[in-house]
Amino acid sequence: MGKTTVLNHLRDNPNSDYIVIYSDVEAIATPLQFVEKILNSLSKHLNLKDKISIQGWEGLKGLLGSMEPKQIKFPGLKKNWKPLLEKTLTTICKNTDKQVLFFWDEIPYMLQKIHQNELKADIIDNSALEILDMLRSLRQSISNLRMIFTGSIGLHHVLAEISRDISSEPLNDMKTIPLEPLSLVDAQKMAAYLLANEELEISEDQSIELMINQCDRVPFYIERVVTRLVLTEKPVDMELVNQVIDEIIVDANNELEMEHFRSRLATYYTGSELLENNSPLAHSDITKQLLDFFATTDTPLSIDECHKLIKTKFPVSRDLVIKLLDSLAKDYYLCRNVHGQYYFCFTLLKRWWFKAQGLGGAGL
Amino acid sequence: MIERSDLFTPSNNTPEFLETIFVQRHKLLEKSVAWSKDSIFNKQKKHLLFIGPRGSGKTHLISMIVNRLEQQAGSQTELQDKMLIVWLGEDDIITNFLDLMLSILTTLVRTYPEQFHDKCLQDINILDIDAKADRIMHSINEQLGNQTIVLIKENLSDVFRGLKDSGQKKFRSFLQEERNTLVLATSQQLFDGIASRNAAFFGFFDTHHLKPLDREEAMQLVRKLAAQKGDQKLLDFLKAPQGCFRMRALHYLAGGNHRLYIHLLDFLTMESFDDLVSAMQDLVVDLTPYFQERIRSLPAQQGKIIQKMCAIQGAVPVKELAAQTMIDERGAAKQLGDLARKKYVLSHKRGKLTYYEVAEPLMRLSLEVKNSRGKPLKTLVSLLRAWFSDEELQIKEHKLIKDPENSLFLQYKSSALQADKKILRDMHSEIKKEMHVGIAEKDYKIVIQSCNEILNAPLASGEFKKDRMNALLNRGAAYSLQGETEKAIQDYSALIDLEDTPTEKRAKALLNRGITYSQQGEIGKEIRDYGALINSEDVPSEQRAKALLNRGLTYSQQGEIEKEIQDYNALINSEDVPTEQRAMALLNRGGTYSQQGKFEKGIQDYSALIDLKDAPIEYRAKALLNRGLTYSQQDDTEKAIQGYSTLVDLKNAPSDIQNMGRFAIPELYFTLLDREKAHNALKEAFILGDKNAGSYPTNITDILVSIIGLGSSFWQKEIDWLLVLFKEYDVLAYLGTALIKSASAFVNEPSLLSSLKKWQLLWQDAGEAYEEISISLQALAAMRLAIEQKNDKPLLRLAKEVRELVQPLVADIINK
Repeated sequence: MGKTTVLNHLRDNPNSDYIVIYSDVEAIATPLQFVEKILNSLSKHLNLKDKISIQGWEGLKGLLGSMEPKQIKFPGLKKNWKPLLEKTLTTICKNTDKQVLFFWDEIPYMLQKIHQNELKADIIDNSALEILDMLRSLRQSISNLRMIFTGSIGLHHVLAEISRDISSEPLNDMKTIPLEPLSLVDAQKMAAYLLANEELEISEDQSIELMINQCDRVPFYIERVVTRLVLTEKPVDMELVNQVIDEIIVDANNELEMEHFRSRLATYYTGSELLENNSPLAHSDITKQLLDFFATTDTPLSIDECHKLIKTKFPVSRDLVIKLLDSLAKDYYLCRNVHGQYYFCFTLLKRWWFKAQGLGGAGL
Repeated sequence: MIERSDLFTPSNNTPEFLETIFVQRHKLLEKSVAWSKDSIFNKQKKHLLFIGPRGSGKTHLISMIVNRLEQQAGSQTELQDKMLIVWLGEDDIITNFLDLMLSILTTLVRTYPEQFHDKCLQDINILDIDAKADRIMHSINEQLGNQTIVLIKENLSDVFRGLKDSGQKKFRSFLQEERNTLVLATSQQLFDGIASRNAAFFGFFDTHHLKPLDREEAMQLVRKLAAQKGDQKLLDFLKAPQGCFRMRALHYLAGGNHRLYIHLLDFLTMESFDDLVSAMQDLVVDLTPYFQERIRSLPAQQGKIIQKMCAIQGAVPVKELAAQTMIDERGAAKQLGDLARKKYVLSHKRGKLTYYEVAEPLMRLSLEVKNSRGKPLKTLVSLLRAWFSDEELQIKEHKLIKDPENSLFLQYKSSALQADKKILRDMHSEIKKEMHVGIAEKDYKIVIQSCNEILNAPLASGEFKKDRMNALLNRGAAYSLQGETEKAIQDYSALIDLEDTPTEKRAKALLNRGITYSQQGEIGKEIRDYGALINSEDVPSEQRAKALLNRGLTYSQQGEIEKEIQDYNALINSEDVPTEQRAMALLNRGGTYSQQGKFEKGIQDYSALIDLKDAPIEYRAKALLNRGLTYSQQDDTEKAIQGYSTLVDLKNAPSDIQNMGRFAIPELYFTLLDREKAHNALKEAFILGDKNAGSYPTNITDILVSIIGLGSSFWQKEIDWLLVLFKEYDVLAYLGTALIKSASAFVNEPSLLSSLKKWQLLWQDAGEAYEEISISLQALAAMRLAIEQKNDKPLLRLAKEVRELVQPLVADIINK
């Protein structure tokens, strides 16, 4: 969806009253490493001393070891990460009148890893949750402390995994911003910019419209399609756009890894129904069949229509159809319109599904 | 002279050499350099990953990217100051993030000793592994300043395997946090670390799968290599049809792999059977470890599948492979999908089934060696089948035949003779496809090239004879269409003179040769060929009909009308003539009768054609037009109008013919003195006629002549009306031309001559306001004066090109 691009833009263009400190925390496996990471990222910002009062910088120096940037390690301090974290963030924020903004990229993976490591080692601490709690508490006590958490997977999934106490809400002061596909105007701007930048000849103006629609206005897909168009060395028309998209999604080396959407159904939809003849009917097979219906129609389908269609294949209840449609919507396969009808959320996925399932002939 | 071993290590070759032999990926190279430059100067990086099997030119491509970047840095200080090339060794073993950081640092120190040091390595052993990696990473970042590392790593999949999940995440973190390193990498296949949606590097690289060379690109590569070697003999051979055919055969073996062409280069000009077999066997022995290593690198089930596929000739469906390997069908399908992604196998979809075959026949050949036990290798037998003719394979003498060990040569020959000719069939079918594309696109050069290849392919018995005959016929046609009539006649004659040419092909050749003689003006020979065809027994009726039709036309041009009519009669009276030829004969005979003044007979023929079931619409339309014309020549104006009206209503008729019918109607109404209907008909012709087709408008001179025939009292009104109408439809230029030609009506009819002045003056007055016809008005005035003064002096005032147009119209009357 362009998460990295958005992050980089924010990193590179902060307001003048902000100090921005970025870290990719995906590889971090312990709370202490997290603190080390923060300190190391501070040490990289040599110019911070200009922004933080000397007094504050000296305070941090004790932790940093010297004014020279070098790696920070706290051997043998496994239990003391909390005061270190508190001191680090407090010191830096109290000694500047600027807003201190931490970007922690891939924080859900970090929390997941810390939690899983502790489970494996039979450690009863729930450091992952404690980190979140502590960060929340610091956010509330330090007025110029700001944080942006980003992740490829939803933090709520991780929170559900690590939170034993259902009342724990360490993120309720933060705003969740899902990155949606671009607006039509922005997608047009982006496509036009990329095409012009690559000096591509456009022989049919509608081909840009086609491309952004077929790419569901997802920047990642648009960028990949433009790159492939460049390499064809042909003027861009509708036929070429369709051909390139087909190549991207049908190629055995499909770099978008669409197969993931089919194969994960067996992992996510593990339930089954017992048929009259006592043979099991996997929920994943029912969802596949439902998606087949959606891939072969341009009209959104209501619950009743889906139930009617599915009954021609499997004897399943209306309730089960509702449940599976709801899950497919939560997993972004399907979207629902104001009339309560469902349809494929992403054209590209629909197009791939149609081909992969051989709904027009041979399959993948 | 280049050493072959150097060719296998592109990074050891000079940039100039690599540029010289580079093929196929020019755009990718150009863009990769541009993207890399952008990444060097900007924080946003486009990391590039090139994927392809061994020998597919990955190192060549990446070497060229680096060479071009370094070349540009030579003239661009800014780039030179900013870029640091760090090319990690292909065989460097990376087992963790520390190894990677250490490799980068040591390469920096080795490559840029004045700028980089490795002091951070002092006393490093007291730290744990993560701390060591961090210290080195910090040292690199510290020394780097604002420069950008271009990190080049081949076999990135090995690095990722060594890094494992945690190392990959640290590496991503390093790239993402610092944004001072651009990665250019290669891999033989996609790997989980980047392909899985759960991987840290999913979507991180801009991945490019390197396509194998197609035949034309392979030809380019071989040509470039031959030029580099200074091998003129090979270069000349590659231009010859035999060279093209052998390249096809090698392409079948090499499967588009760059490196294998370097191996196979010297084979192309081998004429001796013994030399070729010996050299191929040596090559196979050389290559076996390479292919065995490739198969060993596969997961066990995939290796098993490949081995089984190598033992099977041709493509097989999943079910059959599953049965033969004892792997369940679903598992086999999954593994085959993976093998297709890795380019080990090719898949072909036929209906609901997918067939798979080994992508590189040389792989099959190398594995066959192990199991052949001294027997001929099937793949090599296939190649020999494509290389040598039946006659060459039947020769039993060998320079080494006395040596019993070499009796294998004889076994190879006998096997090649008895072998299934699939390779030849495939190659012929590929060439025929190209030929048909050439025919469809009217690219006669391609047609001739394809036919040359077929005609110069090694002679083999069976269906290939038919291909050779078709090639002679098609090449002849292509030559003829290019105007190379002598060559065309040679090809047709060769086909006609072959003993076993089937009647149908000989008939086509005779017909085409006749047409070509006609192009040359050799009428006697032309008529003789048509005659030979017409008099042959068992000739397909369509060919005979075409010959009769063509001979009829030629007789017509020669003024031999009796003979012409006889040919048309013979055609029309035959029962099994195709409708198209019958229609054409009726049209032509009708025309000839009309020209002879035999209007009734002409009308009969046209009517017969109009009523002919399934007659092509174009001929039916022409018959309606001609019949209308003939009726009007008979002064049967009502019937003529009726006929034209039928024509304009005829669905799907050609628009230009309908236009002619439309513009003929007003003239006839004027003749009938029905001015109102004439006006309506002309208006309708403008409105309903097809502007974009030919003959819009047409017949204007005849309309003017019919208006002259109305009598001078009507002229003023008609002239005014015509000017407004033609102006409205923006076709005044046509009226102008017709106006000049209208003078001939006065010249040809002495009783009218005295009214020419009135005609001219009326036009002069009425047409003054219309700039578009001013030249025509001047011309008409000059013509009138010339006629009145009986000399052409007034015409001299006209522009030369106008004068040349009007002079013949008035010449007779002036000279009188």
